[in-house]
Amino acid sequence: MDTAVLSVRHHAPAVAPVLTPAPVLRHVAADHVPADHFQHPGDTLFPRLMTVTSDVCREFMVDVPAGVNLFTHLQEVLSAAGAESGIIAFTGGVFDTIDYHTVTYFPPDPAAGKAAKVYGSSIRAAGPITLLAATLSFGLTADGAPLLHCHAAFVDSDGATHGGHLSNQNCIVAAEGVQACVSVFGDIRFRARMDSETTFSVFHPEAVGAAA
Amino acid sequence: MNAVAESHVEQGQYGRVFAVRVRPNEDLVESLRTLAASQGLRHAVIKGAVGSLIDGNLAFGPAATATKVNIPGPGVEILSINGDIRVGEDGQANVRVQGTLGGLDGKVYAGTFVPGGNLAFITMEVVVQEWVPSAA
Repeated sequence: MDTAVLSVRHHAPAVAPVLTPAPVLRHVAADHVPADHFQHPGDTLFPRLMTVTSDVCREFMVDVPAGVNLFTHLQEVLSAAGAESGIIAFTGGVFDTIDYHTVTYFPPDPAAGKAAKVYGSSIRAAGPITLLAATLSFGLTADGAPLLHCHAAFVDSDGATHGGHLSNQNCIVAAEGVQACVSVFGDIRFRARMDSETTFSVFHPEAVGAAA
Repeated sequence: MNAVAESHVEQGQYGRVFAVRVRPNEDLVESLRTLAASQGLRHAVIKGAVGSLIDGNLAFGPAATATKVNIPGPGVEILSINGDIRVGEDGQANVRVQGTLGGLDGKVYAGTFVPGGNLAFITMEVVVQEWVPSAA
């Protein structure tokens, strides 16, 4: 360790770099106009903020073991705990494989019988992959089946960062495992329903039980 | 003699949990202000959010000299957020949110969310939990 420290000192520049405030970074083309509105195909729906509240929120800590698909395993754990809807924050983990999607928006084309879509084919990151941060919301499909929705930031084996919507099919946990903090709603359900404004099926919060 | 700054320590517990769907074209920070006002929140923490933005607008550094980063969409993904909502004596909600975004290029961007600059694209699922101080 001493050698490493000496090495750093040896290579330190004689004159310390001066840090100045950077200008606005724009990861965009010069002619890009920041958008303040996106016109979806359907009528604007209200309320713009849908809010459901509960006094009850149960917490679980889950260690996801090596070798499993993250989504398959979490679904089994949540089902066994009677956890229907909630949100998960991940505290860390490593994956052998992550398939994920970034957004490319294709508007609906009724004449061609095509619905709108946002995701094309998946991108595979090179493992082992270190998780930086991730959030997962879970609830039910319109038919009542479990549904998990996860976005994550991670670093691949070359040190490149990636971020996007994880594929439920192929996110395989590595030997170090993955750690999750699970918050389960008491009287709230996330239910995926068709949203006529955007023409996508998305989670809507609903009151359940005594709160309904 | 150096003055020793005192910490403000408050004991309490988490209270009501709020599951929110933010519809398209609504701003993340503004929506959290609206939530605080409509629900009578004094102090709450953000437990997480999943969703996408028309464009992402983040900042880092001190407010006066902050560097702003524009991430073009539509469809910039919210990967992780954390932060809180505190309502001051003047009734104004101070919303601090920071986190990571995924661009259309799959790259990761990080910083604080600029108020008015992060409009929902298709949807945002946001979960907030109230902080309730113990009675003194």
